[in-house]
Order: sequence, then structure tokens, then C-alpha cells
Amino acid sequence: MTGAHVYASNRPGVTTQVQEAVTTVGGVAVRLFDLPGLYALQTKTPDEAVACAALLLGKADLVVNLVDAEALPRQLYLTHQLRERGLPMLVVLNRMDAFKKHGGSLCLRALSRALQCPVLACSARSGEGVEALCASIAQGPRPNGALAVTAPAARYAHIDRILSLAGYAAPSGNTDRIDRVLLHPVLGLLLFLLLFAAVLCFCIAGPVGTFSAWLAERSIDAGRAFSLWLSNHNCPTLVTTLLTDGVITGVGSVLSFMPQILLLYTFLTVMDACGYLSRSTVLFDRFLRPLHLSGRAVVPLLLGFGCSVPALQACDTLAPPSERTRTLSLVPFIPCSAKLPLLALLAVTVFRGRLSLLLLTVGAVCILGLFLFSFTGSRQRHAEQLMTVLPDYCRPGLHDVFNRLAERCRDSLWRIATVVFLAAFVISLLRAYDTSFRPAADEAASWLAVLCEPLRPVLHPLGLSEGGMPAVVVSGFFAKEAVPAMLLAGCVGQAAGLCEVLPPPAAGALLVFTFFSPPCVASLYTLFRMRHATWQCILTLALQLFFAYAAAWAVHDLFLFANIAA
Amino acid sequence: MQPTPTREWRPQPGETYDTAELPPDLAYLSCAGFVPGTRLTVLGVVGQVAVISVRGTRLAVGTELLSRLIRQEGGEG
Repeated sequence: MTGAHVYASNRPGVTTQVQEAVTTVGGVAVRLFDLPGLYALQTKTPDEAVACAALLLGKADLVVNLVDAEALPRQLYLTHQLRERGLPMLVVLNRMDAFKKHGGSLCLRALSRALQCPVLACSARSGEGVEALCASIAQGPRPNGALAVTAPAARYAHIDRILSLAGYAAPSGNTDRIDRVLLHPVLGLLLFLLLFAAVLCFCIAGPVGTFSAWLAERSIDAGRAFSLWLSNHNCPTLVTTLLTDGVITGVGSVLSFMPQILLLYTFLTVMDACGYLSRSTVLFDRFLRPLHLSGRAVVPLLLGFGCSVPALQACDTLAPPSERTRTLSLVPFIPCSAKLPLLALLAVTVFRGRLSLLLLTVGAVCILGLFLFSFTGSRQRHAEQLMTVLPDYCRPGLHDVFNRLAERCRDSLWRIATVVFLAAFVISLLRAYDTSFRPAADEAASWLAVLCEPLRPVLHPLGLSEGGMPAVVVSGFFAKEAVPAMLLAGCVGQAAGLCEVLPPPAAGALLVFTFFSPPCVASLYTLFRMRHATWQCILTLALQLFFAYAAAWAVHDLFLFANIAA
Repeated sequence: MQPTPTREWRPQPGETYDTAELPPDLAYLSCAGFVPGTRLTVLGVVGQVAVISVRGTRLAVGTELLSRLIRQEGGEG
């Protein structure tokens, strides 16, 4: 109705806050509040509390109660509770097309009579019924009575009577049949892991990875050619650095890895939209128990492969505070798609296709980190028993997937255009000038060398103390995408020379440190906002930094010991 | 007849149970459809998690929790 695309529900992976929009519906100016999903007015999680408070204290002129037509017997519970309070209400049965397709039937007029409020049917995906909904909202609230206040058992008994009066016949889809395979204790898990591994390999080393590496090389070539052209035309060093190292090589090389980031994100979005991601809670519950978590925590962790920010926000849907704080500590350990470019770059240059070695290293450190950090965040060592809704499988709407991708794309491009560009430009500038602000004749006399000096002894055990490597390491704290950009633009200059400056032990240490050190600025902001105990958050981040350093040191020495050569 | 759930109890797909009177710490689950006498069907079991159907809604529930939700043999729950 507003043209905005938000995903507000209490299901992990979607927005967990109130979304507000001012729009015109049927010629009337209205202010719409989109609330997280709710099953009842009794709340257990922060997102449910937000929705409940908005409903009961918000004094809305009209409550539009959006109900999934395929889960009517359960979802009418909230409708009944709201009707008991006499709130001005309009009930909208969404997904009516799927309800009818699966053999469901219902008399809307009878349902409306029984609930004593208007009831409409629509399909948000196809747009069917949305016009009637807008017209109904434009009419404003109509006086409707209130249902008698009852206890839960009596409420459900009344709902059964209402459904019977409305001639309700339950739909029957294919979900149970599909679940027999996808939720098979062995086959289901195997299929899930195979699918995930296939997508990761396809993104990093498959055609998409090769294409991205080819694009990165072209951007470096273009930067070099342009730099030469600018020098021939006596262009000032500042402008040359800005245009070549900052824009073409820095931003260009990271942009070339966008197909990988988007492909992984598409995969996660489709998994979520079709209902498969929710099934991971069942498949992984047994593996999360040793981490003192229930299966519900797997959804934020899996979303972390796409981007840490929505993954951290999804933690709001976890009920016990101990589980929520523990999951918040673990999400930064999941390699997000922004870290993929570094993995891909090192795989095709330094490690020359030995992707399995890199994946094994990252996987082992990730599991160790998850295990160790599951002891932080909360003293409670007992995971709550799992209780979660498994939605019906549905065909993901292309429009929805596209919108979510566009949102992710906008976010990535903004970060690349700001943080990555600035980092690449500043590093190149520091490298180009000496301490007396003259073009540096020798790199050892440059600002970069001087500023990196204090970090050199610290990074020496990781093999990252030479040249501008300390600056590369630091850039990862701002945005993980900045690390490959720094490697290519500011400190090395070309991918071909990477293995000479960065031997495999140092490359392994850089990879591990970047992957497991505290997350980027955007994720840190979200983390601090969601974890109210700031000192606890700082302590966890300090521990994470120490872990990343120790793990990188161990990987460096292990690769050195195993004599892994380029 | 209802089986007696124990800590090691493992429901089997296809089995049906009736919901018991909920203990006070689980009273909030009445909103989720677990009101006394409601019939639930086990659709599948993965590890310590049972996939059940209650009032037409598919839920994943830990088996330990499930054993506290269903009516036990010879008792009121």
C-alpha cells in the first residue's frame, strides 16, 4: 500500500521492529504502523512485546489484523483476544489464493458475523483483494461490538464454533510430504549440508568466483593504465591517488566481488521465503545443544552467512534472554558474505585453487570459536526446549526476493562507496606522501610506514608486519570488504604480486584474523544497540579480538610448519 | 491409552496424544493451542525434536517439553 517493502514478523529473519509509513489510501491520508508478528497478547520475546505495546497502548484508529488463511484455527486466537478488548478492527485473511488452491473453503460473511467485525480476503503476493482492503481502510473504523472475555480453553472452543459456523474446511498442501524427505533425521541433514556446501563452493570457486576474480584483475589493469595516463598528463598525485587507487582499483575491485555476495544472499533469501530456513531449527537442534542453545538459534546463525546486521536483529525473536545474549556473541563468528571476497581473492592468488584447505581452516576455527564463545554471554548453561512454528512451504515470490536483494545491494553499494572508498583513498594517500607532506620517494618514509610502526611488533607473529599490511588488517574493522581492496590498491598494487608480498602462512593468518576479529562498524552498532550491557559487550569483543589473534597466530605457525607454499 | 512419557521417551511418527492440564510454568503455551484435551499428532522426529500438528499448525517441539504437555497414562497430566 505504501510502496515500501518490509518484513515484519516474529519469525527469525524478518524485521522485529515497528515500521511506520505515511501514505494515502483511497484518497485518505493515513499513518500505517507495521508490527512484528504475534500469536497472542501474552509475550515472551522483545519483538512480541513491541507489537503488544503498540496494539494495546498505541490507540490506533483501526487495527488491521492480518491472518494467514492457511493457519486460521491457530491465528484466530489473537483475533479473538483483540475482539475481546473491543478494538476497532478489520480482519484480513491473507494467502487466500493458496488456501483455495489447497482445497480450503470458508464463508467470509459468516466469519464476519461471528467475529462481529468486517472480514476481507486478499493475497498480498498477487495483489488480489488489496484494492478492497484500501477502500475499507479509507472508510475508517466502524462500530463493532466486543466478544466475551474467556479463558484460553473456552476461547479455543469458541473459535471452533466460529469456524464451524463459517463452514471452514481445512486446506491440505504438500508440506507434510516434502517434510518427510527434508526433515528426515539423516537424509534431511545431508541434503541441507550438501546444498549449503554447493552454494558456498559455487560462490567462491565456481564460475561466479572465476568471473569475480577476472573482473577484479580488469579493474586493477584499468587502474594501472589510467594512472599512467594521468601521470603522462602531469596530473597532481592527490587526484591520481583519488581516481586510481580510491575509485578504480579500490572500489572497482570490491564491486567485482558483488556477484558472489548477491548470489549467497539470494540463496538465503529464497531459503527463508520458501519456508526451508525454518526447518533448519529442527535439523540442527541436536548440534546446538552442546553450545547451550536450542535449534531456534540456528536461523540467526545461518542468516549471518548473508549479513551480520539482520542476523543480529533476528536474535530478538529468541525467547530466553540467556539464549539471546549467547547467540548475539556467536553471530560475529559466522563468515558473512562481505568476507567472501577476501577468501576468493586468496584462493585464486596465494593458494592457487586450494580452496578446500582454506575452507577447512576457516571451518575449524569457526567451530572452535562457536564452542568457546558459547560459554560467554550468560551464566545459564541450560538451553530451553525447542518450540517453534514450521510454516507451510510456498513458492517464493520473485517480487519479494528481488526487493530484499535490492535492499542488500543498496546497503553494500553504500558501504563500498563510503567506507571502502575512503579506506582505499586514505591508505593510498598515506602511502604516497611522506611526513613532510611531499610525495614519498621511498615507501619506508611514507606516512603509512610511520603510522604502521607501533603495530608491527604486534602483527609480527602473524607475518603481517611488513609494508602496509598493518593498515590492511586495521581496515577490516571498518568494513570487511575493505581488506581485499586494501590488498589490491594500497599495499600491493596487483593481484599477481600478492603471493610475493603475502606468503601462504601470512595469508592464512590474515584470512583468519579478518574473519574472526570483531565485526564491521555497522554490525558493532547493531550489537551495542541490542545488548544493553555495554561493558559485557566490550568484554566479549575484547575476547573475540584475542581469539582472532591467537587463532591467526596458530594458523600462521601451522602453515609454516606444514611448509605450505604458494 | 496414552504412553507414560519419561526422560528417554521418544514419540513415533503417526502417534496421537491428548494435551494435558498444563503445569504453571508452561501455562503460557495454552495460547499456542495446548489446552486440555486438544488432540496432537506426531508427524516426525529428528533427534530430540518432534514435529507435531496441533489445530492444523505444524510445530517443532523438544521431546522433553512434549512429554510434559501430553496427558500421561492413568493421570490427569
